[in-house]
Amino acid sequence: MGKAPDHEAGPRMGAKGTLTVLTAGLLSAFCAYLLGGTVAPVFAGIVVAGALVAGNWIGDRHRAQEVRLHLYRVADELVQYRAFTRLLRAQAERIVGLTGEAAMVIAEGLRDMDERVARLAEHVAEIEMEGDDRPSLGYLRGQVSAISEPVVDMVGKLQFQDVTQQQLMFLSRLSLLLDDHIGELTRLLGDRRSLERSARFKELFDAALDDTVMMSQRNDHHRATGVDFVERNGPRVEMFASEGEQG
Amino acid sequence: MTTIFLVDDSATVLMSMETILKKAGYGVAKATSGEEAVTTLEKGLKPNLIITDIHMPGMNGIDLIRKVRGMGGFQFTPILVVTTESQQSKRDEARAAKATGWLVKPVQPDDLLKVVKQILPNG
Repeated sequence: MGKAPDHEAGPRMGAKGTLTVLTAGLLSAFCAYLLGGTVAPVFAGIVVAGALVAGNWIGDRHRAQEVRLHLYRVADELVQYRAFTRLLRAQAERIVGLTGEAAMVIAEGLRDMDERVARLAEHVAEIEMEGDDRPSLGYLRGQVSAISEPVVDMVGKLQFQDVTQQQLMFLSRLSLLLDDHIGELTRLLGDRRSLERSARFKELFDAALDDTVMMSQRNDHHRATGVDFVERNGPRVEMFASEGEQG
Repeated sequence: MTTIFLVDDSATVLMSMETILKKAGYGVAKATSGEEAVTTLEKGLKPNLIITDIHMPGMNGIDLIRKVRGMGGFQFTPILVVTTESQQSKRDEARAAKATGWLVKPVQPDDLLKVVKQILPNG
């Protein structure tokens, strides 16, 4: 951000100051008229008051231009922050897309491998049923089983992608919220006559919690906002009703 | 064959659970949204168990359960909710909508199969 304009430089008088100067000038002119009784001092007083008012008016205008320029600079900076949040969001979406594709490729590969190993196991079993009792067949059966064993667990682990995706999309929503807030601030800076006030970021941040159901995200939010409260998650597996009640 | 109907917008989760369940001998049907699930059921699918995610674009899992419970023939079909960790109020909503149970993602294959066998002992 650029150097802030020096507001101390130049005349500093508002409407009240202008009125005071004008009143003082006219009063001094009137007093001079009463004491001296000629028109010349009156004219001089009016000229002095007029000069002071004009100077003050020019100073006010100059200062307003400086403030306006300063606000435009701030607005320009804010617009760049918006580009930053858009970049963050695009990256989050890219990560979600890439991890999603990768998880699918891995899952498909594991499933394909599992099916081939199952066919191999069937083939070994057929050979054994035909009466072949070579010890190597037992070894082969053990190896096939060992390869097959962890596959289902590995496929199950790939559900991480769905959890990660929700977390990234939450970040993306936060970024969007920040983006909107910055946009609103920029708009207000560009229109100084507006008496509207942008919604406070804390209010928007708290509102983001309404759409957030993951316990870890809610607790992170509580910590970030200084709330001393930890929400507890329920059991990983919970049955709501017995089989009989469900029919 | 015992058929389990999986409803989830995540392709990874669908494939993961499909692999686990098929390997255990169950038949699997799939839908990627609540709306698609309703359409599939209206077309005549009669699953022995429905497993649904909660957070899906469009019709969410709770609304799906309510809809399915209101459809003829599915009043007593067990419905399991599988979702990421969520606050208690969501569990209460699922219970009120007459869900059968709740599992937190990522679901361990053993946990999934144990619950499925508990609900479908003859499956």
